Amino acid sequence: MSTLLASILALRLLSVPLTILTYIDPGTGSIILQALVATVVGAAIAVKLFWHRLLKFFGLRKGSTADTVTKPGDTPKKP
Amino acid sequence: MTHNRIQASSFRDPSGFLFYEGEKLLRHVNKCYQADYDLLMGSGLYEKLCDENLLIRHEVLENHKGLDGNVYKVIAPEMISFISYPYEWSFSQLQDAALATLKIQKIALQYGMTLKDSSAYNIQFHKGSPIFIDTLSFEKYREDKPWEAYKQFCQHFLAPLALMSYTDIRLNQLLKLYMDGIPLDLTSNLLPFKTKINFLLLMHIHLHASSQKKYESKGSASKNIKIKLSNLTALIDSLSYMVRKFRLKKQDTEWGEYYTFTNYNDLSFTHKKEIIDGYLKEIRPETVWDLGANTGEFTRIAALQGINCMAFDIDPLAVNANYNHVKKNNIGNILPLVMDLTNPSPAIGWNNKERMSMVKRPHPGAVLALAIIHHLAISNNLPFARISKFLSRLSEYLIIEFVPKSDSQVKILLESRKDIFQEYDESHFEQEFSVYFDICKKEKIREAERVVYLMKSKNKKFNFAGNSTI
Repeated sequence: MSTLLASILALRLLSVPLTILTYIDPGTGSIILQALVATVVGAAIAVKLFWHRLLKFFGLRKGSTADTVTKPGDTPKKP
Repeated sequence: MTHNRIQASSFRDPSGFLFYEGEKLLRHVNKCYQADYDLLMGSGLYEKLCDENLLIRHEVLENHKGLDGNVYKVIAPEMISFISYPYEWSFSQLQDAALATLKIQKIALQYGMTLKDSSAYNIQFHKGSPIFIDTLSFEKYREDKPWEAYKQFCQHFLAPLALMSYTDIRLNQLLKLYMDGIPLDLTSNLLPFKTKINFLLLMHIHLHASSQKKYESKGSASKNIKIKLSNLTALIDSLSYMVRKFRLKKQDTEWGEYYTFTNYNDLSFTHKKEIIDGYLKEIRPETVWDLGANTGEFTRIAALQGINCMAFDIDPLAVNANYNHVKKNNIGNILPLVMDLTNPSPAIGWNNKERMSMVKRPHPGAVLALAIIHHLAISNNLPFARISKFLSRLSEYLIIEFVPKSDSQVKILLESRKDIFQEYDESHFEQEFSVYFDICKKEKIREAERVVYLMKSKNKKFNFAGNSTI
């Protein structure tokens, strides 16, 4: 598991640099940890949603239940 | 000429600062914040947050020239009646403040903005609910950018909540020592082992602390990190979930069930309420500080008269119960706060001026000091003269209850110690309080040995009502 997470982070480290400028120190270790946690919880939510959709596809779960599963990781839309 | 004074705590963020113009508190928005301010106002985020009572409303002073050439706008935020700090909040107050911060961050992301800081000091309790007061904390969200205020959120909110929940409810007092939140390595050391098998606590606190240590001198290691918006939102959700799940341990304190075990009978209790109600109707103060308010039973008498009340108590569980009652019943004019009157909140931070001491905050019109005299005089060995002098400088009116030695609560205090309090009686009490107060009224509570007094301070500053400081 930790190897997988390290790989995900390594891939991210190869991406285009983002300048982080702020008046408070976001903390190097905090940013790295944040990326790790965000990836893990984001993936967990994606898996959960996929599982609900799979069950729905096979008719093992009522559509309404699957529809009500909120996906907190979804990109929010501006109202 | 109006005197301008920059607020002592307003120096960190280059986007602007707070200053007083006379009695009015204004916010200077600097030119460097122009784009973000316009986005906040133009995107609909400001209105949305204000509509949800999450952000303080402000008025733009179009004709104000500002204090220097760097000004973009000067705004006048709605005033908060009493500034309080996270080390004075009970567990549920800190929990609600944390949830409000996360809700704001989530809504901000929906509008293409993000919180650039998440200090607990950006939240105040206003009309009973937590509200964000720093209008300049929002900035444009840049795609895939991590949340820069994540560390601050963990130190200001998660750490004290986890410690209060898993170790000891009193540990939010560490916020007095650490201005930028409780260090995560300290939090990790103080939390019990079982928190390491809780996935979210393991990640957000324990591994977070390790990561901070590992990368403490490798500043460039995080420069290239990107986080997808969907993952960032999932992170905010995980924090909200975690904050909501925190619970207090089932524990009793010295005061937890005071009203259940008190020696009052129903008649005395009702009569005491009637006396206080009558005194308050007579003096009609705008604000009241209830010192030793416990769960706020007597504070509510003042609140029902429309008086703005601060309910202080040393017991964090009693304050928590009071807050939950106030919240449940939508009582907007009581603010319960944790305060040890024998050691009130000091002035702390840079130059000892960033966070105000309790006695430097705007004073009330009246103080309620019910059933605390024996705790001050006997438990804390304070002579009547000192208590009287202190209270006489705090407010114009004082409603104080004298609890005699024959009272069972006092007997309990004296059970385990030598009685060195030969002058602890009604006559000495009146004599010493008469030095600093005029005793206007006194009434003995029916079927009890206690007496409730209404006193008026002799201090000259109360020729000009309210707002003076010790």
